[in-house]
Amino acid sequence: MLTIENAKIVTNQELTRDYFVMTLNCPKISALARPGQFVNIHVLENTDPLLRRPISIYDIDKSKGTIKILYFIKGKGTNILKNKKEEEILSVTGPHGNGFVVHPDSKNILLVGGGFGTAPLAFLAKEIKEKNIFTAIGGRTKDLIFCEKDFKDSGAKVFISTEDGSYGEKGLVTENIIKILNQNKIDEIFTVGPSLMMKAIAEIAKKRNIPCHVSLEERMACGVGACYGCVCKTKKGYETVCTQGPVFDSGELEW
Amino acid sequence: MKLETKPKLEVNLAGIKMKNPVTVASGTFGLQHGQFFDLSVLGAIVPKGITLEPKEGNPTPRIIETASGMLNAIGLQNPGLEGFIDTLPAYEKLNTPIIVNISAGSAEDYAKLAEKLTKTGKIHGIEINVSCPNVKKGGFQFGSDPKETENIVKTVRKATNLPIITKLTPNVTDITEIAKAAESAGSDAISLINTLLGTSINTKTKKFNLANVTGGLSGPAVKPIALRMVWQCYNAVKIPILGMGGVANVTDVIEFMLAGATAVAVGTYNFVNPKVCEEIILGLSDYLIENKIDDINNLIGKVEKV
Ligand SMILES: Cc1cc2nc3c(=O)[nH]c(=O)nc-3n(C[C@H](O)[C@H](O)[C@H](O)COP(=O)(O)OP(=O)(O)OC[C@H]3O[C@@H](n4cnc5c(N)ncnc54)[C@H](O)[C@@H]3O)c2cc1C
Ligand SMILES: Cc1cc2nc3c(=O)[nH]c(=O)nc-3n(C[C@H](O)[C@H](O)[C@H](O)COP(=O)(O)O)c2cc1C
Ligand code: FES
Repeated sequence: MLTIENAKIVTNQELTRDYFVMTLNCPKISALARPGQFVNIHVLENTDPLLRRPISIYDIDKSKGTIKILYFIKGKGTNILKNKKEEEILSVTGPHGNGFVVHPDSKNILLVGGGFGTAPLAFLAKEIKEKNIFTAIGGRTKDLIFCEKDFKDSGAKVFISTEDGSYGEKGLVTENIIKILNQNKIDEIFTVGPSLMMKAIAEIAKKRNIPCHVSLEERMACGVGACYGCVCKTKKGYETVCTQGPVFDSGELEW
Repeated sequence: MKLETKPKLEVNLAGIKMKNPVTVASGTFGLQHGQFFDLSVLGAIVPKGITLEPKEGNPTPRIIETASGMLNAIGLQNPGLEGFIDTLPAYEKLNTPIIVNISAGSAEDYAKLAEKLTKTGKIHGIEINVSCPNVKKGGFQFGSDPKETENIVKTVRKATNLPIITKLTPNVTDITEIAKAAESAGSDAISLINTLLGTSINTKTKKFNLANVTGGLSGPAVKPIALRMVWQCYNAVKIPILGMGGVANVTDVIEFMLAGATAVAVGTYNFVNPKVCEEIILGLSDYLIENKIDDINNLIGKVEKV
């Protein structure tokens, strides 16, 4: 069920260069949101930029009626978003999308995040605390490693890698994954990040016969499954990322 | 003078009785919007365009935002006639006229669609899409030729007694020529405009932003063109007009009606504000009361020169 709310900005803070965290007061969306879902934000009461911007839900606080998002400054829309002040109002719809579904029998879960993709995974970790969670976070440099504390607070074992070696292991996140998989029996993998990274993880998962779920990004218009603008190619044909996704079984995708 | 009664919002679009002049543009709206407001408030509902067989649509990316608008090259992805008919019960529940937008590669197939849809006994009008810029067969290659348009409308006319609305493309030199062709072939109304052919380029990758290279432009950016064309057609034909193109608020609806539209469809703006139709319908009454107009029909075509 989707809803539309005029959400008051509670906080909007820079995390590191070009990455911001915003807390929004939208009790209806907060009450419904599950990990892996996203909100659609109208950044300006204006026609340029026209369309809403899809951003994943990073955290919720049902008691306060808030949600958190972690966003990267990409273009027109996010540049406007970063200058928004507390108390300002944004029109927000959500929660959109299917979200992550963890199989009840899965005990050992591996979460792999890159860039702002770690945010929805941090939300997932919080909701599946009773599972044995392994998290691999990758980034170019130390300041691009997000949500480490969130994962630790959820009891996850966290493995970090940076391309320049400024934090954790030096190298790509995939190298850490292979180590984790060699030492542990992982039942399911969830990954969100750059598409090259997700493809590499999906490849590794396939070789080892581990179910792997990826979260896709596509340009969107309606966000409700009505316009077929956001589709991705799957074995069953074109499916809408906004409602049939954004989370797909990697084995189902033709990408 | 104070208005004693509620202003009249009902309009009659070529026999389709609408409780108010506001409907939705095909391809921009679905039953899913019922999550945001009660769809029975709509004057009519127009589902995504359908073809006889299911259609996969174009490769991706299919959409790109532009200044106050967007380009789309969906390529008519749809579940086909049978798939659509399965969803009819859900549309019927809304208690508002259902106008079905149809596309095909030949006049015969348009007629087949019209005939089968009419047989369901559940729909109230047929919108013939001869104006899609994103499909190779059919689409606006038909709608930019008065003879082809006439031929299709005539063939569909024989297949149905339901009101026929012919949807016109703006990608022509003289839209009134096509409007007249549709009228003379027996179309009960015309709708305009479909999207304007355009493109967009990514300067970093030096590639087109759409996999289809070109797409159809829609949204507030196209409104002045749509409005001009509605006015031109209003002066060229006698059949009623369903106006659309960039409609975003009450003022836009009034403008289209003053230019000659009997009813108005909201398209791209449903993406921006999924509740916009409900907001417009509520706002229309307020506008009429404030301006002491007791019947919205009194606005149709009433624009004057300065
Ligand atoms: C399901 C989903 C979840 C997302 N979650 C996050 C998140 O948690 N944090 C975050 O920073 N970003 C996220 N994104 C990407 C985010 O939507 C884009 O970065 C953002 O729309 C860019 O807008 P802009 O106006 O700044 O950029 P512009 O490039 O000016 O945008 C132009 C158009 O392209 C679209 N667009 C641009 N980049 C993307 C993209 N990568 N994916 C989809 N549409 C795009 C915009 O929505 C807009 O319509 C997510 C995208 C999707 C689809
Ligand atoms: C994503 C999208 C899909 C569309 N699909 C159809 C369609 O299936 N059939 C049709 O006749 N018009 C289609 N259109 C055109 C619209 O119905 C409308 O004519 C056009 O967008 C102008 O109105 P607007 O500016 O309010 O969107 C589509 C438009 C968009 C943006
Ligand atoms: S954005 Fe319209 S179908 Fe997904």
